[in-house]
Amino acid sequence: MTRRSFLLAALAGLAGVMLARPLWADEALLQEIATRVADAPVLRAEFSQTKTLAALRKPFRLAGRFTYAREAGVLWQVDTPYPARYLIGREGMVEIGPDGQRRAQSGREAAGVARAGQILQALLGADLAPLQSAFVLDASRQGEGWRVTLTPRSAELARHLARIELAGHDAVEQVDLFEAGGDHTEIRFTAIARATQLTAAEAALFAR
Amino acid sequence: MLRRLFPLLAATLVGGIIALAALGKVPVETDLLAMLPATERDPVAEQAMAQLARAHERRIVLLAAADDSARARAGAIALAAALRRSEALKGVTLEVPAGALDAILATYLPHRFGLLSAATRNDLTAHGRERLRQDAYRALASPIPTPMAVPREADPFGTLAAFLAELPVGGSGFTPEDGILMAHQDGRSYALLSAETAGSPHAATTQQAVRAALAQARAAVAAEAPGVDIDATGLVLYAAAAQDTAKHEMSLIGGLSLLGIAALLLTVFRSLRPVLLGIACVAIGVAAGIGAVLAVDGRLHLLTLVCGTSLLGIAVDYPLHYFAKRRLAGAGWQPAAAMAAMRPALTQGLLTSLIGYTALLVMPFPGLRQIALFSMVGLAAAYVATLVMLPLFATQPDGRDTRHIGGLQRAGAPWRRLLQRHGGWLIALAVAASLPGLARLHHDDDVRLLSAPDAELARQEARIRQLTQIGQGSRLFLVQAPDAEQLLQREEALTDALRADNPQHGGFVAVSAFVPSARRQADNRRLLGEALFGAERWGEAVLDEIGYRPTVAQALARAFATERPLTPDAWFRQPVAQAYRHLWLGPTAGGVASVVTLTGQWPAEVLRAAGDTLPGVTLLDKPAAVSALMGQYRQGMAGALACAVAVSLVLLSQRHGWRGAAATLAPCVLAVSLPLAMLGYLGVPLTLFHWLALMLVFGIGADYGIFTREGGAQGEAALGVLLAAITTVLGFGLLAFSTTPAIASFGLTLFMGVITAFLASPLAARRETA
Repeated sequence: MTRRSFLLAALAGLAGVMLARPLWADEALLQEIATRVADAPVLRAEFSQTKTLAALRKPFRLAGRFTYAREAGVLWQVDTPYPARYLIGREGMVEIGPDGQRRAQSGREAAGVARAGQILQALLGADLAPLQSAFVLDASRQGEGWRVTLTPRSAELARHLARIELAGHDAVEQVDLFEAGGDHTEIRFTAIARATQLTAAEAALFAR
Repeated sequence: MLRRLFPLLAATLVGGIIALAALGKVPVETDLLAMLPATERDPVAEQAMAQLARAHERRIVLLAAADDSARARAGAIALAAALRRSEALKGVTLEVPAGALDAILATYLPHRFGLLSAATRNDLTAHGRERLRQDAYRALASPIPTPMAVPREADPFGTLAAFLAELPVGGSGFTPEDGILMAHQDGRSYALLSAETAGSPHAATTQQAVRAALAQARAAVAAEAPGVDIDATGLVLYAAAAQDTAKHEMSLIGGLSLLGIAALLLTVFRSLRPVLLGIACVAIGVAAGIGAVLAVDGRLHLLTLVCGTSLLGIAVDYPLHYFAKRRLAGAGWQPAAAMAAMRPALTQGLLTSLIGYTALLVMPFPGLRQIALFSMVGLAAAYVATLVMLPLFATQPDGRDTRHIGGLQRAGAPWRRLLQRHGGWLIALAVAASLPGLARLHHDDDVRLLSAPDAELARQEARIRQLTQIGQGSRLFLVQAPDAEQLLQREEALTDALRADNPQHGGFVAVSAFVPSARRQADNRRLLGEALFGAERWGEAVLDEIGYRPTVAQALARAFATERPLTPDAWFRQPVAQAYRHLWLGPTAGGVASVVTLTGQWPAEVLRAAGDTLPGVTLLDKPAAVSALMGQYRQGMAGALACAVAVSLVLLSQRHGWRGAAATLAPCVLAVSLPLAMLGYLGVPLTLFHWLALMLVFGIGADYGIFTREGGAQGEAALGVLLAAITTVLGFGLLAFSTTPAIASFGLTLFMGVITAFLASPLAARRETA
């Protein structure tokens, strides 16, 4: 298992958490989060991601937009520093080039992505068993909002990933990934908007 | 003296074989392919096939499937624990050893600049280095996971990660999750396990032990992790199922035919003695056949055993004719005289049967040769037993009432008269009626038509194959070259050609995918070196632009300057290489050789084109090669049959004259051609096994003709032929109900042939007796 697959799993999970009614160990708080995180068929947000790595002399920043469609998958569009589009469906992930051409991932990469899609599905169904088997979930109040910490259960996972933290109010607003080697990835979501359906352009991308 | 000793010798032989069988010491071969001849004239190709078969034959692949990942894991862990408790299995593998991925990384990291994926090579040659810049960003930004945790600073452009992702490691649809190989598809989660049988998968003891272990393991999983489905596939499971089917059919068909024959003989002879002596003659024949096969081949093939049980049908004919004579002769019967009168017919019958089998014996087809050897020795032994033992043990004439038998004979009289008066017309009619059927005959030599693998096992295997992309193992490429470096280059030419055709067809497993040729590695280093470390130090600029520390680019440049290529020897020393060792055949007479195996659904013409055009590359397609060979032998068999008819005609003309010989052979020629016409009308494609059956029909039909000719149509010979036909139909015809298509078509053809031979037998009678 790799740290990057965990990043992916966390991202996929995140999308679900933004919508789902979570059922975590701390029942009262989890119920509260569940009522606050309302359900919607389509969710859009802007994201900014900051990687702070030992190999980098300055943090690596990435910004873009994110569309989650409950029935179709996730469209992850990077605007800066270079434009790129990734489409994550249940069958795997493709990169969509500027010319619209699609570049499929090789078998094993696709398998990892498909797994993230599975976790997504589990979260949407409020079935947290897949996540709870791999992580210890710990929820707490943070003023008006909430915070959930996911700690890997197995030593094998812990070799790469220290913990994942999710925080938000009426939706997940921040994700922090702490890698075992000290590297840190932070993703913030802003301008979160719920919708009932995809735009025609988005629908066309998902349809292919 | 010898005559007195024979029963003793025979009893010892029969007892010995029965004892061996009871102890389970008769080695029985179940693999249908083992019956088939070596298809490749090239010994290196044969070695490749054999080595690959050895690598695969003990393996069992299992899947634990459930609706969620946690349950599938729990099921897989329970399954592995249960399988490890069994002594029938070894090497039960579920957990990916901790550090296995790190070991792969450690192997490749020191050689990373010479290792490029096909996509990266294509990008660099076709689009230049701009793609590398995107790759460097993508390595930090993309939500795509890479399967192995390559340190970012060692592979900032992601080229090694791309190469590692392309490695054709087993179960390509599976990724390690928490140390267990898992896959997810259509809402189901799967965990992958593998194991090996401790003993040979062809041994019945191994098959039973493995099956018991698997049943226990399934029960353990059902108790500990309910809701988990277990699929398993492996040669040993198919072999066990085939063994079961054959044993079941042998005991059912053999038992029914024995019962039927005993009941018939008791009704006709009203005495136990002919039945017991008949069974004794058959038993001696079967025991001698098994003994001869074991002495020559060392192991008995299942198909020989099944076809051999039908030897019952022919061997029992010899004592039948003897007892039929005695039954009808009344009080004035003399054993020695009767046997003397019968001997020419018996001898001619045996000789014509042997002529048919001689043709099979000279064919380079191990399976047919074994059936022929079994049948020839068995028939000869039954013949000797009849000649020697019957006059010893059945000496008293049978003076009892024969009225009920007379009725049986009278019932057939109108038919016999019709045939003898209008034989010529009837033959012309039969020929005219069968011509359109014969014209419609077609052949299908596809070897897969001959076996019907267990449906449940096939379903499980299909699911496992679909998820794991495991190759079929029956189609592969043999690559040969003067030395290892050129061998790897030729493999690369092959895999490049396959990849260029259409990657959607499937994949391949080649040593060169794990350790590229020195030339390919040098080429990769040149491509990557020019892009990254060329005059403008472009790579350094890109890394700086992204924000990497200067030390990262410096370390890369240092590593590039001192890097050496990965050698095949170094790679083969790695633990990960052990699983692919069988692909490397090593030194041969003409240099070195390796195999490239295929996964997925490659169209035959794509593979053939690659095999035909590339130097040193040969496509080995076992099913296709065997099917082609079956076609040749089928034609050979048809020719042998024609020869046997001609030789028998000459042989019989010595005693009966040309017209007589033609009349004697008329029933057997009709018995061969009418079933052929029938199969043509039914639209059944002919296989080698139909012709094998026709060969037997020829022998049987010739027997009926000879006995009718020698004994007269109304006399005891007619009774003998009637009994012989019924017993043969009981012995062979029941094979038509076998679930193995090869045996069923054999049985059906014999059934039609024997009925025809019986009905046509009065044609052989002398005119003056009519």
